[in-house]
Amino acid sequence: MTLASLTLVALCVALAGCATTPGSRTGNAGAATPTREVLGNGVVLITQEHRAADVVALQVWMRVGGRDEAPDELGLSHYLEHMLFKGTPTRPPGSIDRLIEGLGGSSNAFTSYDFTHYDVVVPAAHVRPALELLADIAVNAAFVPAELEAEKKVVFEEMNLTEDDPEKFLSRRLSEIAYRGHPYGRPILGTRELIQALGRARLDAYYKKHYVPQNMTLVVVGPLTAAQVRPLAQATFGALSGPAAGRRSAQAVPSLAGGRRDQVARPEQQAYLGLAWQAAATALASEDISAVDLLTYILGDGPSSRLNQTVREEKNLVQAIEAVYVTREQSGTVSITARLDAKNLDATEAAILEVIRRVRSEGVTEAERQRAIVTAESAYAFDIETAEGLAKSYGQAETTWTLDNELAYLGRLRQVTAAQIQAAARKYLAEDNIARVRFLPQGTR
Amino acid sequence: MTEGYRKSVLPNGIRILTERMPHVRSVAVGVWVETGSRHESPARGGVSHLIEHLVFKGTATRTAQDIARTMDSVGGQMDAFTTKENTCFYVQVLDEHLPLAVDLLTDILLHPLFDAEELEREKSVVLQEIRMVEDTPDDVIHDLFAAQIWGDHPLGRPILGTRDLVTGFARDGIAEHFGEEYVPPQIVIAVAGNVTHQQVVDLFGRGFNGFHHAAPPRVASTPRLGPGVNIVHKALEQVHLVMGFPGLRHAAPERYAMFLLNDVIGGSMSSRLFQEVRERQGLVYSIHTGAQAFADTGLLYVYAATDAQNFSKVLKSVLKELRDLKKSGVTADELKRAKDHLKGSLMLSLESTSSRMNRLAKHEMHLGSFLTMDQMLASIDGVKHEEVQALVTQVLDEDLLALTTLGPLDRRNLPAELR
Repeated sequence: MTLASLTLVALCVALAGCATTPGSRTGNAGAATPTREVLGNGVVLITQEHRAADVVALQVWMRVGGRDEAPDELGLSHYLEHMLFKGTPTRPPGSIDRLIEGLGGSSNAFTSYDFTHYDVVVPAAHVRPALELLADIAVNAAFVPAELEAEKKVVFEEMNLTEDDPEKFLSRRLSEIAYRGHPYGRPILGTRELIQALGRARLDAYYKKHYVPQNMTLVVVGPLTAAQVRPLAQATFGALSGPAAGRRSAQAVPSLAGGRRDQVARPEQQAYLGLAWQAAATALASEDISAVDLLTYILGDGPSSRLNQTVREEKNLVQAIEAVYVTREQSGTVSITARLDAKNLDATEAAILEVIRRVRSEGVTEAERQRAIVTAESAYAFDIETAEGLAKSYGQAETTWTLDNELAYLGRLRQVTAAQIQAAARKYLAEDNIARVRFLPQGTR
Repeated sequence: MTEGYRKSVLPNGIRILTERMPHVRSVAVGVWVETGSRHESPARGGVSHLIEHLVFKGTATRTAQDIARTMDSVGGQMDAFTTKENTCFYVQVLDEHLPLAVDLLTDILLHPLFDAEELEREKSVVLQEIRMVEDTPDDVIHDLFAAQIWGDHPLGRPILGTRDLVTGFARDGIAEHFGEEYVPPQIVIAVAGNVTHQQVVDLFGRGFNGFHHAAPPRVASTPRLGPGVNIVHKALEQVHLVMGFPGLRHAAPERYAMFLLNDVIGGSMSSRLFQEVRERQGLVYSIHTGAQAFADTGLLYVYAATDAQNFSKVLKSVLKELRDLKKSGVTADELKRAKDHLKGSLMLSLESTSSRMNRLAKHEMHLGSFLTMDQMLASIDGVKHEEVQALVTQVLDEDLLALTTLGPLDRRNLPAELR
């Protein structure tokens, strides 16, 4: 259960890969586009027939995440994600895991800054009990005090785990630096002090406030038609009630002007370097997203990308290097991360910046543009082969962007010109607003 | 779902297995070679893994860059991995690019250059990879555990080799090993996706035409699992532990009973260890068990990570759960749930082209045949309660228990009986 809260990772491909255009060849035997409807109580229902296998993906996307937490509520979105599988008045502790696994299913959950996401995959015959379960935990979680206390230690262990993994820790540190003073820069898991002091009343109040029908999107993808899913969804999620959602709009992201730096001594033998820029977001400059995506592929996706060719192959400065673009509502992040010997840190940073400078001044070639589009298309085709992957792309788009944007995405991507890619580099990848984090093996400086 | 499984054997002995998946757009192509770290002589420890890297670094007609760009240009994903018993070279592409994928895979296996300059470069890449494994606690603990339980047996050696051995590899030895081991009788080709069997046979038949070589001799030496405790110190936030018992080989007739037993102990979220140690006591974030199998042996292991101060509690709880299980046995309810879980997991795993490609190859290499989903489901249903019970008694023998810990821990943190 609860993979939980890698702060940056995981979202990237969902928006980087994005969406089928109606009429394009998707390989799905069923309908090529999803059906979206809003139930009477505000729950958004998205369904798509998908017959690649006899399994159904059921996902609940909640419009609540790290950014909705008050300073004394840090970590509550993630804590809820852990507690929801613990039980309701009619489902004792342990019974939910047993039920899902008894159906032959699997479950997972994930907390981010803009959303919390619950994911169940079951053989197609068991859609009904799985939907009943999801609707039940969405509003009836019990928060038994003993369970609530026991889970604290689990979350502390999860914090330790992140700290021991250099790549996870680097992406967390980069977020902290790039978004200092904004909720996107805060730890999704919260702090030890706040979690230690967390009581049932506070968690329950947060839950009651945010887990309301208007904040929910249910996505169902599998060998079922919308007409088959609708009555089941009506009987379960359609029957939920709750107050209106009062989600505040996210606060504006403070500028990174002047840049920020951080350096951390670490137990690893190898050094790590991370550079991050703020870029187009789904709620802001959304029209730039396709160009930034292609730019990121050209810079740092795969062995023939510029960073790999220059910094790794030609100059032999790093063992691994990649560029990743993550979009959120209020800010996207382009980050370049590398694993290297500590002695190469300065030279690597200079080489990366030189690659960026050249893209900004000279632009990209038509061959690079073509490759980036092919890469995006293939990555998307691979992602949506599973019911779970397809449901994820729809759920995240509905929650943090719009489904229409998602569906139009690949078509737009193909229209992006080389000049627009260069313009995106000039607009976002300036040298004076970089967040930089270095991990140094202990004993070096 | 129907399963379009087919098998052919090329005149040179290469086996080709395909499964047609008409609902998808991609195709997963794996060329597997039945050679891995356990087939290396001690002086060649790590050579299979180095070869796995080197074949991508240039052929008679393609530079390393050409190889990388070929796949990049069609948005394909290319990868490879080496295990103790086999090596897999793997490509996932959109179906229309299958001919290109086959052309590339046959080229790297028929005509690798092993260029001296690339060799030196790749050695340093592998040395960095060794360091990275050492820096990743939940990876390196499995190497430490294998070394502890199998000692000098080839299964006890790390797949990546050691720094000294990797540094010392020369081109001739590498090319010789490649020539002996990467040969038709040891090659299994598995393809799953939107393709026909004939297409695959034609493409690989042409690609590997004229490639003939006898299989290398194999000297069997059955590994024996050595019990005991090994405490490895390291400054980490958490203490990681692996505990294991002798298990079953791949083709063991009781293997389904073993999968179910693993599920009951720690292979699922409703398992005894997950529910007790994580859910009830909250002592860990990660705890799971696994049934690991090889051609001639296997093991059942427990992995967990926790704070040093909680370590003793975790270990005691794990031992208590295992002893309880031995004393009172698996319940009928548990067994039913484990069967449902295992069957469901199998069905869920049918979705992606790469998981089906893996299944094709593994069935062939481990069992010499292919089992349909229905056959596997029936085998799971057919496991009797007493068969699982017999395994509990046979496997959970504390005299044979081996334990490795990694992290800030000393012997005083161990329960008295293990000190």
